[in-house]
Parts: sequence; C-alpha cells; structure tokens
Amino acid sequence: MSVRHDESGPAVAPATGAAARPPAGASDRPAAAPRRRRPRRWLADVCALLVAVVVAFPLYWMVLSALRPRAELEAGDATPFTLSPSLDSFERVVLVDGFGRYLVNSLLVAGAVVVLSTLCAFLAAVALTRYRFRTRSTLLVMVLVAQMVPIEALTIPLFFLLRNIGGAVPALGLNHLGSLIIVHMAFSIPFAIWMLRGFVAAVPQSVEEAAKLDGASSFTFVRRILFPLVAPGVAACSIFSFITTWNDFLFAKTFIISAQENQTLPIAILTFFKPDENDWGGIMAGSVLMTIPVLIFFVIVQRHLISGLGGAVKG
Amino acid sequence: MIGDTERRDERRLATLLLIPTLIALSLVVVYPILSAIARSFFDDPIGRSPTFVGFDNYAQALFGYDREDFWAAVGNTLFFTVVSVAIETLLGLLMALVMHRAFRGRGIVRASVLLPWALPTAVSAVMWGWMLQPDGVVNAVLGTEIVWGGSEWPAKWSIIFAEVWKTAPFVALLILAGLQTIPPHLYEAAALDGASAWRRFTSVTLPLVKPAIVVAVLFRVLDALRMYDLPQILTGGANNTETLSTLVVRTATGELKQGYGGALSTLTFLFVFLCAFLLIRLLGTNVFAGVKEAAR
Repeated sequence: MSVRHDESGPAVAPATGAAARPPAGASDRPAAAPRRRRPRRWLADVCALLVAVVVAFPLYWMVLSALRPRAELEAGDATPFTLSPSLDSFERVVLVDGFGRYLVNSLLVAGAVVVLSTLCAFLAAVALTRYRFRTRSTLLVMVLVAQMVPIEALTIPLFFLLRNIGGAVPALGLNHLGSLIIVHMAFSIPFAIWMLRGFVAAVPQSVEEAAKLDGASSFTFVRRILFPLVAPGVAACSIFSFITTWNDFLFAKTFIISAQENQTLPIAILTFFKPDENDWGGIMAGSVLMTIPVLIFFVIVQRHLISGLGGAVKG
Repeated sequence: MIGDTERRDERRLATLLLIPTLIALSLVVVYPILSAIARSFFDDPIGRSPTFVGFDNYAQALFGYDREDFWAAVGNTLFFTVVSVAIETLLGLLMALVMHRAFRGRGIVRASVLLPWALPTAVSAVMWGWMLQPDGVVNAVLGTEIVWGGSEWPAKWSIIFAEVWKTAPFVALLILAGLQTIPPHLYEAAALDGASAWRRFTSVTLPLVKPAIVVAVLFRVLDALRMYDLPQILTGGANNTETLSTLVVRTATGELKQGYGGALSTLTFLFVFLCAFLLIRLLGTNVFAGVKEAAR
C-alpha cells in the first residue's frame, strides 16, 4: 500500500490530461517518439492549467472579496483585483464576541470526533474483516445503509433524543459540546469503516500468525501491530471526519440553542447574515479563516492520504 | 476441538470490538429512524394529541393531495444526482489522470485541487449564490445578464455547477488513489506488445481503476441523493429545484408536520436504499467481495 509509484519518472507515468492517452515516454519507444509526442504533452499541460484555473477562481474570488474594502464591495466592483486591500473584514470577524471561545469549541469537537470515530471505526473494521461470525455480512450492509440516512431529516428526532440523554447525562445533552461530539462521531463511523476495511484486510494472515507464535494475544496484535500498519488509512479517515465535523452548521445551530458559550465557529459566520443586507466581506473573511485549520490539518496528514485511499478503493 | 475454542474466542473478541460502534450507531442513527417511522403513522393535528392513521401519510405523499410536490422532488433529486455524478466522474477521472503525472509541485496542486471539497458546503453555497447574483461576477465574466435563481433551468444548472465544483475533487482523489495501485510494468509490457496509447488506457488503466471508480460513484450517489445545503441556500427550493431532503426538512421543521414529515423521511430513506441497491446491481462489481477474500 505504499506510494511506490510516486516518484516514477515521466516515462512510466501512465496518464496524461485531457486527451486521456498515456504518453509514450522516452524509455518505452526509444527512437523516434519523444519529439513527435511533445505537442500532446503541451496540450495536456494547458488542459491541466485550465482545470486548475476554473477550480481556483472561486477560491481566489473569496479571498479577494475578504480583502476588498467595504465601499468597493457594495459598489459591486467586478475588477479581478483590488488596489487597496484591507484587513477590516478579518478584523470584524475576529472581533465577534466570543470568537476565541467558538474557535476552541470547534477544535475540541472536531478533535474529539476524529479520535473517537476513527478508533471505533478501526476496531469495528478489524472485527468485520478479520474474524468470522454469522452476522458479519449483515452488519457490513447495515453500516452501508447508515450512509443512506437523510441526516437533515433526522434533526428533530435527534433533538428529542439528545434532550432525553441530557436528562440523564447533562454533558451529552442539548446545549453541551458532548451532543455535537456523539452525533458527528456516529455519522462519521460508517464511511470510516468502509475505508479502513480494505486496509485491515491487506495485512497478511501470516503476520498475525507470526505475532501469535511470539506470544502476542489477539488484542496485543490489534493494538501493537495492526494499528501501526493501517496508519495511512487512519489518516485518510481522520481527514473526512475532521472536515464534516468542522464544517457543520446544521447540528451546531439546532442542538446548541441557548448556551452561547458552547457555540462553534460556523455560528460566528452566521452573525454576518443579516435580513436586510448581508455583510459579504465578513462572510468571506470568516470563510477564509475557517478554511485555514482544515488546510493545516490537510497538510499534516496529506502525505498519507493518497496511499490511505489506495487501500480503501482496493477493497 | 481446538478450532471450536478458537472460533469462540474470535467471536467474543469481534463482539467486543464492535460494541462501541454498535452503541453509537444504534443511538444516533437507528433510534431516530425508528422514532421517525413510528411517528409517521400518526397525523399532525393542532391542539390535540396525534391519533393513529395507518398509512394515510404515505398515501398522501405518493398519490394523494401532496403527490405533485413529492414526485417533483423525486424527479429533481434523480436529475441532480444523475447529471452531477456523471459530470463529476468524468471530470474527476480527468483530474486524477493529470495529477497522477509526475511534475514539479504536484503535492501543492493536489492539495489545492482539494480545497473546494474542504470548504464547508454551506459556505460554498453562499459563495456561489453571491457570485451568481444578477450583478455578480459570473455574469460579469460571461458577459451575460442571466438571473440565475430566477427561472427553472438556470437555477438547476447553477446547483449542478456548484455541486460539481465542490465534489469533483473528491472523486479525483479516490480515483487517483486507485491509479497509484496500478503497477507500472503493465504499461511497459503493453507498450512492448505494440498497444497504442488509447489501447493502453482502455485495456490497462480503465479496468484496473474500475474498483476505485465504483467506490467513488457509489458514495457520491448516496451523498447526492441526500443533497440539502446547496438547493436550500442557492434557491430555497424555488423554481422546481426542491430535492427530497429539502422537502422533508421544510415539512418536518418548517411546517412542523412531524407525522407527514416522518413519512417523507422514511420514503426518502427507502428511495435512497432502492437506488443504492440498483446501482450495486448495475455496476456489476461485488462491493462486498474483498471482505470474503480477506476472511482467508
């Protein structure tokens, strides 16, 4: 499951861009080919650039709008640059009452969800791939079915559920961060199990037998040997659960009703939506700020991400 | 005998490992579904407690008074799903092929291509909504004066465009991961046998990357069928852009019809389930195959 072809030179890179034709590189057609193929390469590069521009433009526009002075925004200026960038919008976002608190809350919830959901999913994936028992296939299908639930439609039953739980364990009930943590954790698990499954399955049986011969119990094997081996898959899963949790508006708005001090970051952005005139500078600046932690997290784990997904799609 | 105790141990360990997941899923996923189903058999009166009405709510949605709303939502959901997943898959494949090539700064390109997907859906919906305003930047760039939210087809296409922009990178990432599992010597062998570039693509790349595409399409379809944020924020369901999810939320949360809303959410769930079932049949790949092989 390594990224073994990562550094392969252009000669064996099996694919080009838009033409979707693997280029005959220098090594497989030694003689005449390279010069003749050049134009196609250029075409592929141009296409790649075009895709990149289309993908990047809205993002550029977001950052640009966050930096535009207010007057320019309100005038509906469509010039693709600004001569007088200002940090006013960012200032308005950071100065929202309790911004620091919201940030800490968001980090807490996302962190807890990442750790808990990947842990649960890892354990479940081990059980569902390495051990034989009668209900295994059924459980696996059930996990996939959980991925089909219309989440938004369940908000009201979930609300009542959390109210009841809160009666017994206040920290997990409405208005507490615990409510967001358990809900997001549960909704992150199914996809994570499906991603980790291929990974756990890829560890050869002989490794387990060798560990057993050396006196390791099943549990020691899972904890000390299997877990490190599937680390790339775990990294990939953690990105998914981090992003969905970090980006959530709906649950944060529904379950944290009156406890201002337990709100999360998206709510800070919501304050810039006003009935009469939305503060677009504030919204865009808030969005930029909200994307930064995702980026940081992504950069930390991205090295493992591609190879991690490789395990998942190999099944 | 030894085999028996071993299997019993395995079963016990498996149960132990599954317990946390089972508790979380049954609490947060199963219980609300069951309570929505239970509630769907009761009516939504004002000022008295609900009475049992059997399948009346379902009948009302499927062929009763509200059938037009429901079937329109089904049609829209299917349309959005089919069109956007088709475009996403093609575009994602293209992007993956480009990203798979070796070039300088590939890591940065990969990370930046993924950005749209990392952006909160609600934020990207708001951003597109703003860019698509009559005096917004999209019209300025295109030199047009289309009121994107003002009539049916521009509204639909703007939802699809925003959806594709957001999720094609995700598809690309999954396919890219699949591309990297293809051993390079296969291409060398094919080239030695005189296969053209196109032949190598269709008979080496495509078949080997198919499992990755299947996984990507399956999960994308499941997500797209439940699309909520984009239509909700971009159009609010106006101009015949209501999806099943926005219809359910409007009914259950907006109009506080919990019984009828429960019936709608159950129907949505069944609809998604049916689509997934048909899709797995259609794709012809046994998604569960890996499990059985892995179980030695």
